[in-house]
Amino acid sequence: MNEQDLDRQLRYMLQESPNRDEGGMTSRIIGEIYKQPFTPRAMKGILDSSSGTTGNVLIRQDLEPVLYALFAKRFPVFDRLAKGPSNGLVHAATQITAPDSGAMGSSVITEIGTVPYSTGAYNRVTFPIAVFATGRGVTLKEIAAVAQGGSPYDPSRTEMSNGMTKLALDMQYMFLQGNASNAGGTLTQEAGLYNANGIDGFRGVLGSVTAFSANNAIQADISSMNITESLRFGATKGANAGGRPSLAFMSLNSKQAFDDEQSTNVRYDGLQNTTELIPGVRVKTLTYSDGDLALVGLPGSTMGTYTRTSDSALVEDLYFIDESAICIRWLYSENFTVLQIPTGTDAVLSERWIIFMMAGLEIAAPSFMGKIRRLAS
Amino acid sequence: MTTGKDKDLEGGVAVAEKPVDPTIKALKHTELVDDEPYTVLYGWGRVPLGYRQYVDKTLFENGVARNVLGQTARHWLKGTRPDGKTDQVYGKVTIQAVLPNTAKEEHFVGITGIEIMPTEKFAAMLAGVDLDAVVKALGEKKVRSLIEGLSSRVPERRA
Repeated sequence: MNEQDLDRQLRYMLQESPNRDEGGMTSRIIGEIYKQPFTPRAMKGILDSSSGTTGNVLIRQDLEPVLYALFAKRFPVFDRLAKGPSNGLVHAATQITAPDSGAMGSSVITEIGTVPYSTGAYNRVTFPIAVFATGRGVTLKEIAAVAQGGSPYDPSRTEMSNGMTKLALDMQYMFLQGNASNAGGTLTQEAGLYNANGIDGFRGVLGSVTAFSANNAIQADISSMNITESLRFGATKGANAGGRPSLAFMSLNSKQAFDDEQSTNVRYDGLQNTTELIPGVRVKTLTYSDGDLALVGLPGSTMGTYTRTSDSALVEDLYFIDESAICIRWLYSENFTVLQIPTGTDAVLSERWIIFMMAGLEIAAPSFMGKIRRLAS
Repeated sequence: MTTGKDKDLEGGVAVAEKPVDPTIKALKHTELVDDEPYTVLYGWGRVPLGYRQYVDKTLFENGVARNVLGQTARHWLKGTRPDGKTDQVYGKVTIQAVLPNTAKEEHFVGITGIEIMPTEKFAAMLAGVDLDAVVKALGEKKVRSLIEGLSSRVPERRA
């Protein structure tokens, strides 16, 4: 056996596992061969990657994916809710709270009686529009270095993606727990952290905080009932008030608890009971007395927790909503806009972008929807 | 459940007309009879006037639910499901007190741990009180009741 044959033999033995290798005989034989003085250094290099001077082992790290996003990247609230243009600096709408001021049956009169005139009851409401914006930039040196280093990513696009993720995160946070109407509110209160430039989200509008205490949103605290029963109860109340709840937002913890409840119950949890949330994404549905609720679990912490007023327990909400009475109202554009700032404008060698969206949340009929409070987990 | 008749007993702070009946006390879950109605306090004195919410399927107004069956209240106190089990319990409310159904607002005060302020201190505090806030907290009916209660105790001014 010449040197080349031995080389090929060793390579083959290293790559192929023997059918039986009792006592690690193969590695012992190779080890013995390796130690023999007749084995040339060039061949030992095949087995030795510890030296940095042999030049035999090079690892092209730059050809591997190097970016891993370690945060929640799905924002179903923003994706699912309908979007429509705002009709002004704030979006204004009028609620018809009653079709008539009389009691039931009051339109019945005698044959020659005087016809009673009446009117409906109206209530003007407005919804603030917030400006969500973030600036992003990458130096020209960074852009060039990454490109010439061979790494398979573009730092410009990565930063723009980060900026959009930040906006989507903040918008979902505001949609869920924003507070622009109850001054002094904090993160741990039902009102939510007050921000005069923000918008009012589900937590406050569907809760019992000062500015929204009289809007007849349905609120139920879970005690003896489970999540299935509570959601069906709340949705039925919303339907009884005139709406038709169609969707429930909840944390993934709550969704997990719901799924656990269904483990022995196929009636409301069969594979057939799913609905398409957004194109290509199906979620489970829960049947109640007058329709179905699509159940959407929200990853991340945008749902948040707070201290319940009644007993100071730390709770989280599940919202059941009537989507026909909810709309994301926007100014300028219904999605994110990216402004590219001319390079060098501020005398820094960089590329800069401003990503923004102006939007608010119109919850036009709080009495058709509401919240379930459960202990935070 | 709340009835129209019971509404007179609810909301804000009570205006006691006579000494509180000391026999009305908070009941333990072992003292409750399954099919007897009780008054349950949950958030009374903490929630704002007009606060309406459900605990499970029972409506609480201003932190008070009337005519709650004993078996329901017992499960709230014990944190159990209607079948008595503790699996699939994802919520728990801390009930302030379960009382006999005849309990009135003046009973709620001591039972929920609210200490009656000494009269002299209360009188002094009135000098700095925000009357608008008081009206908002008490509600129109309670305010009128307070006015009438005070007026009846003040001799009529002679011309």
